[in-house]
Amino acid sequence: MTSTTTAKTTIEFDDRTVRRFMIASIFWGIVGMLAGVFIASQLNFHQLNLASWLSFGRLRPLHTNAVIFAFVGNMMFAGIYYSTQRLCKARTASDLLSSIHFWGWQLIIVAAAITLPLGLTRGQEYAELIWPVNIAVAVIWVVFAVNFFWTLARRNEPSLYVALWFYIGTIITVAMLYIVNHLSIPTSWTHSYTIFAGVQNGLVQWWYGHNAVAFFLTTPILGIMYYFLPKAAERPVYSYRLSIVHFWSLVFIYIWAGPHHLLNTALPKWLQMLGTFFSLMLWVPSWGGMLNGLLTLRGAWDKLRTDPVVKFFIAAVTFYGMATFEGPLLSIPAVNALSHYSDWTIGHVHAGAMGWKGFMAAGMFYWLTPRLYGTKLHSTSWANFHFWIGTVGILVYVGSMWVSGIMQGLMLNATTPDGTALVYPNFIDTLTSIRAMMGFRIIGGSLYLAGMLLMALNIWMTIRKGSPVNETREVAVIERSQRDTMGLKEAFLNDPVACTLGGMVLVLAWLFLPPGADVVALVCAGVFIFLVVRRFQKGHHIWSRWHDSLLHNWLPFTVLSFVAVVLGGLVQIIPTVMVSRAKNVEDRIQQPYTPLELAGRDIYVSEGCYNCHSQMIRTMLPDVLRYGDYSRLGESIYDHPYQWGSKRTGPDLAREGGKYPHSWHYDHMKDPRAISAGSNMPAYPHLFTAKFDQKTLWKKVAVMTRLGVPYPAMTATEVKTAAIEQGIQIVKELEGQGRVGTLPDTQIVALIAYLQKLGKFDVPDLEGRLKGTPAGMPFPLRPGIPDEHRAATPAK
Amino acid sequence: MEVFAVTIFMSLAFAVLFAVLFLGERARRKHHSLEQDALLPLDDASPARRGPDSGFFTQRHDQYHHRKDHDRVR
Repeated sequence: MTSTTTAKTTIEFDDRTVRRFMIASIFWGIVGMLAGVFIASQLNFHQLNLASWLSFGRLRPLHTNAVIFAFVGNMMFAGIYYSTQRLCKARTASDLLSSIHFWGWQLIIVAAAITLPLGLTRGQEYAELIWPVNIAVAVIWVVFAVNFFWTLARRNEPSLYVALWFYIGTIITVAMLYIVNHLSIPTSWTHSYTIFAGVQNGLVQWWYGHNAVAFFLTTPILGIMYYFLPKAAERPVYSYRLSIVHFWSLVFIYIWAGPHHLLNTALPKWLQMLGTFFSLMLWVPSWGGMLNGLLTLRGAWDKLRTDPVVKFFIAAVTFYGMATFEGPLLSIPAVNALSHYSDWTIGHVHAGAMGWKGFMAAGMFYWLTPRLYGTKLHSTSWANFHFWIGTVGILVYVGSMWVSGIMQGLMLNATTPDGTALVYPNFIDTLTSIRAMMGFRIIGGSLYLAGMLLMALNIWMTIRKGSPVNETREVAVIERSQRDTMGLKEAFLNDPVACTLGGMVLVLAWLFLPPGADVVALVCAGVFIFLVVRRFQKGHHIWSRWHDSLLHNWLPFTVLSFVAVVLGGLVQIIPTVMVSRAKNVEDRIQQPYTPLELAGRDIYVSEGCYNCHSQMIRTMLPDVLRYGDYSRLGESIYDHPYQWGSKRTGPDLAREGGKYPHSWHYDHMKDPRAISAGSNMPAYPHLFTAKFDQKTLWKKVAVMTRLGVPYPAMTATEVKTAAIEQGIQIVKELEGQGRVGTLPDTQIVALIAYLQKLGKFDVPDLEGRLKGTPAGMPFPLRPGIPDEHRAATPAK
Repeated sequence: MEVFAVTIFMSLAFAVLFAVLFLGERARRKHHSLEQDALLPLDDASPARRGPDSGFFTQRHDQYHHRKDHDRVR
């Protein structure tokens, strides 16, 4: 807006890419939600686990991946391609890159839809896809990034509108999160082991997982909100200044909150506290953004009655507010003790997914379709009906999950008045009590899906009525010298950057320095902040001018956004990853898996058992009473990937080993209801005939060794022989227990071997270990491990 | 007669005020307010025109419509 125009030109926007992504989003959204309704039904009717590739454990990742990456991913791309071109007053830089992006992304989705039901998985939530697909995702993401930033560089509008900031934040952060969390060593074309294990894996996984919600499912949708809501309301966003506060505080704070997924676990206390603290702080920017969205409708609230687009947007922003209120609430350790592993969390994420993302998508599609096809929406009343059936669906779903989660959580945590016994010692009793709620879940999900189908039909009829059109617009061309002129010094060597980084360094020094020095750092931080506030009061116009310039320069803006998001990850992950394994065990060290047990573990991961079973006994009395002594850090030290889990549809398995004879597991896997009446676990008949993987087993052992698991040197034949010999031993024991006819190379044998190993540990040489540790905890490991807050008494 | 003078005076005063405010607004564009950026999504300075897409799908679509028209004629 500040430029002096030199020439005018007519540009034709690339709306074909927008159309493609929109249609793909609707298609995959229906597929993903259909999978959701199906797996919700499987929880009630175990008979629907029709085949190995249609079992709950394999389809649940398909549902989550389809909704996140296929539905919301394609929707996000549609919104970004449409709005970026308009906000930059320039056509997307490269049609070829747009095409590669679109088709590449669809191929990735197809690959996921094939591999996940086949049981090919990395075994980490929302990061299940196998390594060749991971590489494809990274490449396509880079293609998207190049196309986006190239468009920014060619823009004919000097100012970068707020929506573009959120897109920039999304692109750089998702790239960082995805690459780090997917670092793996392949053992074959379809299998790999993550380089992180145990607590490190948990921390990195939830740094990724939580911020996948933040930066894949929230920031791009906020960008879309900031563009499409003003368009639909026909008035500018309520406060542009508020949007600045919203952006910077959100991207800075969000990245720290990941550890709230691991509260009351073996994760060191200081990380848990950081997670809780930053989660609570998230209330402020999230609600700032929500209010900015809602108040955009000031003076036009009547549109809520007449315009379905506005209806969807306003309901979506309201759900955003509800979900971002609930998230910090669930991050309070006391609340989390009740909610974690229960349906409450499931209800929370669906309020965000169906209410916030789903309704933003619907509003955007209803707004876009008439414009992309040069006609009117086929039926406004259908869109209104979609809104109401969708809203009722969400409320039924979320409401039933609240009731279910809180009820089961209370039952699982209930102890007798003297606190020495559980009121409901049988897990199945708590599952039976929430059956009705699980039924309502199907109804809620089906209503929402019905709304989606109606939208698909409505949009299809609109498309048939019109024809694809590309918008053309006359724009003023601006010279290269009129944008992106900020020099290195101007961008980074100034008061705002120096003061922010200086404050951060002092606060981090308080966190990391040894006792005494930390207090000095805290005092220095306080004085520094006081001086900064004084300086700001005197020269706030300098700060404002600098930020104004930043909004005209995409590269410095991108670099500083990256710095803002990278800080939290570095502070949390580096001390945890750098700490040596010897210090990482507390008083127990896991026994490495034998080759057969490792094969069994891969089957456990492949079948998606972690979707319903945790392997983490929290530091809570009810958990310890129910499952045994609380889990130590050292007990998952060789777990690549870790399997702590995030939901208990079935009981925790951390101390399952040796609890029951082999025959119990044999019968249980064949027909869970024969052992536990009322269980909703699928039967696994295919494990009794399928062979475990002997071919690449030696390679898996070799990769594990490379990752630091202390295996003795073994040849491929020795690995195979060891596995078969242990298999023969298990088969003999099974025969002794009356289960004859099992072959030693079947998957059930390997799985039994693994399950019987769970919870087996050695007592490390504590004294020797401590001797090697220098007195005091040196920088930077003081807040690390072992955790001073957990009594690490040697196990008997 | 005084009424006439007052009218002229007031008209000129308004005209000058308008000119001053207009020039002020022009100058502010150079030092634009942050909140002005909020208008960007609504900045459809030139009326948007929509032309047919000439892509692969459109051709198929056009063929479809053409066939429909053809069928209708028959």
